[in-house]
Amino acid sequence: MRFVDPQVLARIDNLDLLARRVVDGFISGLHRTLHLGVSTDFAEHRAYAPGDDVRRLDWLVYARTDRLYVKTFEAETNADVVTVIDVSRSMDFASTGITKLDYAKFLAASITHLSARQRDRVGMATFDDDLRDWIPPAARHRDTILRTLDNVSASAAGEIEIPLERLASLLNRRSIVVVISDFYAAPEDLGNSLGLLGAAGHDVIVVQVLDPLELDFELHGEDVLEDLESGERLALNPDAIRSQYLQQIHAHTRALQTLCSERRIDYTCFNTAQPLDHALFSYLSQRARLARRR
Amino acid sequence: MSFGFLNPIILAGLAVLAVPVLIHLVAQREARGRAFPSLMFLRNIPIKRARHRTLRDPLLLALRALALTLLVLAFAGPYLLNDETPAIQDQSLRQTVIAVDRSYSMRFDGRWERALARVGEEIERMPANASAALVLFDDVPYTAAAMTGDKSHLRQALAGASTGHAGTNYARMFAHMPQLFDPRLGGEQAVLLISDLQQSGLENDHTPRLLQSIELAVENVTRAQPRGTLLTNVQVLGSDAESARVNLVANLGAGERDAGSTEQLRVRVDGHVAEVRDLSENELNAGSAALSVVPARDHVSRVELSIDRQGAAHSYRLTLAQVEPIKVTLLSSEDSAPSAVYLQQALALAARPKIVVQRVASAALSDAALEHTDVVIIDDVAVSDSGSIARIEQFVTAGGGLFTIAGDHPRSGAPLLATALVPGTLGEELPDTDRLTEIRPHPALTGMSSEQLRNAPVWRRRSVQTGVDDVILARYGDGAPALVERRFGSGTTMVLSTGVSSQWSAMALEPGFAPLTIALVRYLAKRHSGAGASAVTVGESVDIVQHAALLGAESLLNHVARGAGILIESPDGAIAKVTGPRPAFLPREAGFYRLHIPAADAEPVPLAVNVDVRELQFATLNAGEFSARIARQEPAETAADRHQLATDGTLRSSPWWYLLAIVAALLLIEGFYAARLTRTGKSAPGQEPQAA
Repeated sequence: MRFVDPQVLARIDNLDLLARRVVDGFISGLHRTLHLGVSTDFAEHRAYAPGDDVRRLDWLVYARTDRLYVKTFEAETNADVVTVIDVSRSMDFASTGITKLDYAKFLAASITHLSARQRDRVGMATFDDDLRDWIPPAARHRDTILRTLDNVSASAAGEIEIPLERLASLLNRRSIVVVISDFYAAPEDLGNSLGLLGAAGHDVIVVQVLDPLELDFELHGEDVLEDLESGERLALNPDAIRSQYLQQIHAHTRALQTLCSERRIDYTCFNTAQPLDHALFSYLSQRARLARRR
Repeated sequence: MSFGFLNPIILAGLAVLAVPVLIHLVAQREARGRAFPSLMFLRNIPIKRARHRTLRDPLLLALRALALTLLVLAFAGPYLLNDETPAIQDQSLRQTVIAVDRSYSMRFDGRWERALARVGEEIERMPANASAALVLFDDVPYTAAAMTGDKSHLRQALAGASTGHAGTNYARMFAHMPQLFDPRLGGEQAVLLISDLQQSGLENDHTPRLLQSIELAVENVTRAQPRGTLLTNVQVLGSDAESARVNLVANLGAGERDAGSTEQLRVRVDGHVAEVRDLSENELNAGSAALSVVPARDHVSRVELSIDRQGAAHSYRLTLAQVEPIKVTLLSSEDSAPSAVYLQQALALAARPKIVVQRVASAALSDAALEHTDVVIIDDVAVSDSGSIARIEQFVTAGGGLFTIAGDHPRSGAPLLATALVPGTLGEELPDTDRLTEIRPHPALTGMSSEQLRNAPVWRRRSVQTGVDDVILARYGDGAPALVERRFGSGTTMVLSTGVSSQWSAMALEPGFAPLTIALVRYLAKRHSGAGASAVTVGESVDIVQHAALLGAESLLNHVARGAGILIESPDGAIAKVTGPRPAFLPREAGFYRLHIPAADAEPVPLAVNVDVRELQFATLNAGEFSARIARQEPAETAADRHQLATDGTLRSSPWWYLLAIVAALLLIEGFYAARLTRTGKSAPGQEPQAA
């Protein structure tokens, strides 16, 4: 498998081109091992009832049993895929390479392109402390989503509960909802919000995007850290508190992972130094699991 | 290789190193802060506040501190001295320049002998590792021995030293000093000046200067200061028209006098006392005394004036002659009668020497008419016969003067032009009226200026095309030549490109006309240097022809004109012979010289030679006063220092250039490093953090 460095992708201004590059490379690497979302397989026989299409009568069964049965198949409907991106200020951070927000945009663009390619209806939502952009799922919304993603920027503090509640109210059909965020919120709040989507019948995939610095906290010497969202400052010695910080963030990700598991939500965590192909692979693997569950 | 700093005081600037240290210590990030996505987890950690005085980014601090250190070191002027050259710091080596005054005044009162003795002592006392140079100076310095450690060489140079005849010039001697020290030898540098410290040696336009680093020792060899009045020089005012008495003014120097004392002025003529008189208080206060003398003989007399108390060394000598009148032959015609009258009247005003004019028709010019003639004036008249032309040519070639006044007849005087006897080429009349506006400085025009003639309009004038041998003495307002001179044989010819009569110009009516005409005739007759009086100073070149002409010594002049040599008898009785068409000699002692014609009974012509008046002044300084008058210079500003730096093997390289280059490189690295810190979110101390 060929991996694409996010920093290389960051040089591509056009999100459409970027998504094509990632997705096409990804598919050629998989050799058609995953074709998801469509099924023409036989499902069951049922007794003929007046009004059924006679073309569906199974004449072989009639010959053996002298009874009329019709064949039923899996429906050939496309899924609604909605990517939800956190555009709060905490996402606008990069210790090296690209910001978390850019990474999330690349990932959303790739998922959108891939889904559209297999004829899924694609939609998108962005949020910070409220729902900002909302593009309902539709087969022809791919380009609109990519243009919107191009213009997205971080401007406000983050909040997850209210925006996801509003999103749940907007989704009429059962959809695959991919939530991309750094999930800086209390695990309880996250559980409520994500559980709401799950309870509404949506298949939820949680993608947590973090910067390498957030994961390893490799700061040295005395420093003053400033919260990107609240502006709060904290003078500290990173060397002295590194282990405690790492414990905290790992506990948080574990809690997030646990609550997702409890609600049958797929969870994945990425750092922005990882190739996008990884993230896409993970997404499609979970998508395959979702298909099997149906 | 040794190391040092030219400006060590600048090293105090290393205190600026505290600046980056303070920046790295004090400039904490409270003010700026490092952006971080969320402090959610950190808030829950009990944070132990770090000490604020921890040095941040020690590598960056080291870079900055090193750059500043090198910058300060560069400005302090580091230098390296090559060990192959002697160390300047070796104080045991010593170079001494012994400067000995050999001016004329050193001959008096045993000064020279004391100076020689003092130099001898210095040479004998010289340590083995020291070296010395010997310089003798009066008006100019002379290096008798270059810097050497060889005492025998110095002794030999001292043995050949003698007094000179010129005045003292300390400024020139000190200016010569830097060339005498040998920078390769290193060590201390010193000057030992042995002199009578005459104040007059410092009274010129230049201040003596000496390097601050050179030690100066001054030895005054004057034993006692002379007192009384000093006779500085004598001016000859001229003679009475009727009598043979010559009026003189004796100038007196202001010396210290004892109260109530009298000063006697003694006048000798040809060795005989002609007058002894007490100088009055008025005369002493005024600084001058008027007197008159009568030359004892018909031709040339030796006159000597002295103040009794000062002795012969301070006397003043001159030669006086009863000058023969200048004889002028004026060639004119009836047409030029008015202009001839103007000329005669102007020349008649001349006195000492008088100018006698004989007017001759051009056709009547004969050898007899030219006999005893000094100057021929051709006043706008045609000289056409070849005999007259040949006579004039011969006359000028032998040393006579010819003055041609152009007018209506230059064409008729064409044969004169063809012989190149008249300067330039006279052409057509110029159309415009003009004035004589420019008179060049020239011996023929001493005391004349264009102001004296510029009010006189010149209505008519002729163009003159001059050649390379012609000298333009005066011009009109439009630049055209008015008066042109040319040498011809031993004589001189001149041309005036306008007429004297009122048909040509109004010059004859101007007050300046008579002085101009008289001056020109005197110049052409070689009588322009004075009123028959001659006095020179030792060291001043004497033109024998000029001297003889001034005194009217015709026999001597004729002898020189034949190319024969002249014998010169100096006051001490030595005789030397000079030859050539323009013989000259340099008198080296004061007194009366006698110019003899070899193997002839003619009376020798005397020449009075005086001591340079600067050397006769009494005022001297003591060593302290003298040293205070010497301007001391900083070493870095001197040519000697540059010489030492540039050429004499002292490797005073310029490490500061390299230091500056290193500083530049360090600042570059610092810039990259700080930028990198900023890119990674670690804002460097003193820089703004980068937003995510």
